[in-house]
Amino acid sequence: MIPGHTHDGVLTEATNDYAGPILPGFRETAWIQKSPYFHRAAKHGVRAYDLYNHMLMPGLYTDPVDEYWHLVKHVTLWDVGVERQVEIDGPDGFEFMQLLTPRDMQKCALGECKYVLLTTPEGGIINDPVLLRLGEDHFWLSLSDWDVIFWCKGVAVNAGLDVIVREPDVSPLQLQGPKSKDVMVALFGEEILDLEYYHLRETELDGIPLVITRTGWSAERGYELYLRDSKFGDRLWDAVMAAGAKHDIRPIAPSEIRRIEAGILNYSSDIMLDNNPYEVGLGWTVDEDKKSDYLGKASLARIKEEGVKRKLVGIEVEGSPLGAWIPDYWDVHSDSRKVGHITSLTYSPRLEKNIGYALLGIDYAKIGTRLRVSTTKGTRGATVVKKPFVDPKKDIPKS
Amino acid sequence: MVIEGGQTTLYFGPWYRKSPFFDAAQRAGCYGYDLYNKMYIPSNFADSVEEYWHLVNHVTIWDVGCERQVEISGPDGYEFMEYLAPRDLSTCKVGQAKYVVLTDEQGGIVNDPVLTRLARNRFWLSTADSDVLLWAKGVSYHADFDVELREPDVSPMQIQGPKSKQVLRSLVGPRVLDMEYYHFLEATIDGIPVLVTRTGWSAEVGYEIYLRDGSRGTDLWDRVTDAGKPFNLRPTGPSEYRRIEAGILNYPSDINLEYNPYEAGLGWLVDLEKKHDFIGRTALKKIKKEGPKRKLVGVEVPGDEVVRPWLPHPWPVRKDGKEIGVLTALAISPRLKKNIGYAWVPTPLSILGTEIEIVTPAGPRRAIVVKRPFIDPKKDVPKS
Repeated sequence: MIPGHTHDGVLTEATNDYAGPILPGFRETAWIQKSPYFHRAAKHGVRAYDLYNHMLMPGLYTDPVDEYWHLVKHVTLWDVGVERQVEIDGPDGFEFMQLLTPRDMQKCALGECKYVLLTTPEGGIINDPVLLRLGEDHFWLSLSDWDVIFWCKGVAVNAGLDVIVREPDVSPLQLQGPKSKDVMVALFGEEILDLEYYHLRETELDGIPLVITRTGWSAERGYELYLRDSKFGDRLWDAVMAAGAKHDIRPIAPSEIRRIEAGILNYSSDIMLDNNPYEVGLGWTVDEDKKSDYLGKASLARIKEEGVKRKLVGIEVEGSPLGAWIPDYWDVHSDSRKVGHITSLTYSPRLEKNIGYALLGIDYAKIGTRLRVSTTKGTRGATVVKKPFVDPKKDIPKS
Repeated sequence: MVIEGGQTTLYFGPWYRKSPFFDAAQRAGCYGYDLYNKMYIPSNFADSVEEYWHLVNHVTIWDVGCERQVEISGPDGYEFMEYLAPRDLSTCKVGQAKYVVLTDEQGGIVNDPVLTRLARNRFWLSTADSDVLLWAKGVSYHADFDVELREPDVSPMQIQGPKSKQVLRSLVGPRVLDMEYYHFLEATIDGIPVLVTRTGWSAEVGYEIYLRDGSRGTDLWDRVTDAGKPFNLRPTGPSEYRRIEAGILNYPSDINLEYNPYEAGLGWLVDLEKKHDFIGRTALKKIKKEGPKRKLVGVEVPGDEVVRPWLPHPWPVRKDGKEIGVLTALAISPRLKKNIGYAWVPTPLSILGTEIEIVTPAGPRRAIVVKRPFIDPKKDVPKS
């Protein structure tokens, strides 16, 4: 089993090959915020938390492999209140949103969602949120980890645009897994099945104000329920759990295993401020024919022309399971030379392999390249492979 | 080991950064952590009351590598710094440090760093827990300042407590004794490049040693702990008790973007008439003229039993049964033997002696608005 707490309080390696390392002794304080679902989730027995956007997020309930199979076969509920929103509104909201992202917002209709990058003038990545277009000039950016509000407010100071930038009282839940549609029908009726992939709907549930999107971090069929008033946290959680009871719903943490199989990236480990979209394989989010100016436009055109110097690739690491997640960015070597590092790694129970991503010098990024990885279980052979590892066309979440 | 005030277990992933002192602090017996600027900060090596007394009577070493630095440089570095901070920096000489707030256009507090002026146009902002680099980079867009903004390889440790002077003298020589409060000097310790400031988060006599080479963390830790042995130096976390006694604020729990400096009692960091324009000036002028609508006040909870060693989350504050604010900090001062803290209340209820009610998980408790800081209001202790 995975250690929940230890008595001596030192960092513990997982005792189970399929689990991952955890750090006991994290202090609950007033400066680490809690989501509106915190107490409901805690009742289900959270064993470890993740810290994300200055908030606690359940990171483990039972066992990562057990949670993974439940996600893949049934339906799961995730407390992701940590996905904070930056709201952009005001008369020039559309122009401001265009300025922030390389994706062309002309191609984003009202009621649509888009996976976007926010970039610096140098082409570095600030964040990779899911954008919700709620109105002509009204957007939410559903953030991955970090203080994007400061970036957006900072840019707005001298942008000469009439915009409001703020963090609204919005806290998402994710409902993910093949039976999520059955739970959604039970909650909202048959017409919810009309909601297409990466689209949103404003609605309510017994007076609880919501925005529902058909998005998620699992690449399974899934939805996000954006609660628009945190005082209804308990009620929303209870309603979803009740509707899901006959579909075997379970609270789980976001699955590191499933998201790596799907090629989904995690900001702060796979993508950082000093990465550009092209080197992490997100060139498709840069609309090269976008007419309006945006932060990073000139730099990204130059980077594209010159070609990238390093690349985030899929990697398979040989041998016994190395756990569901890693404690450090392990070095990657070619012969005796360090050529990059692992950014994420997990053991996939259905592929029965250690799979993940590595940021490598471009000369070592070709599919089939043989490398060595320094793991906590010794040096292992590894091979550069294609990613995603399953369902490259996203047929599953679109189905 | 039970950690008072509530504890959880944290997923140990590479996406949390480790300070250069992480390994040394683990070896020294750290068993409780906070996260700050996406980095682990050791918060407990022993009982927090024991750590407090050691800080007040002897000398302590803290791993605060999580105080990340934002470096501002380039031809317009000084002008840009004036633009970011409402405080008048024309009197801040090279070699000096200043406590500043950074504000947004509405006057909300972005961060409350300690600034060091390394050269006319070169500054470090030693930041509290919010990303000042993103703010500064965003602000520099279209702002017509020729500046360079980056996070340098700099990681502070704090040496705090009355005997810190002797420790620092043994490390960098007697010139450290001439260094005034909120000043700094550059030095090397056994070839390790550092900057030493006379600042800290304890309101005791104290120093910060800013390590300028992240690969030398363990070396520096060992060198400092060796030098500290004769003075009974020990590793601790930052002391919640001591900082509340001193009226020191914590970002983002006591202050954040929702609050402005006047409400927080930090009006002395705003020079509305300073020569350079700064972000938030218009809003802050208006706020000052109209007067703040709420205030961060000191509170005391009568009774000498421990209400809670520290807050696991902000508690509601009520008056006549109506929710009117929030308690942001609370701890029992080991020497005052009182539960003291801070609360946000509407201005009319900020008068000293006002009775309010805090809602603890164990039920409501009577509390009284009192003066803060709770001891040494003129900072005679750290200046001595």
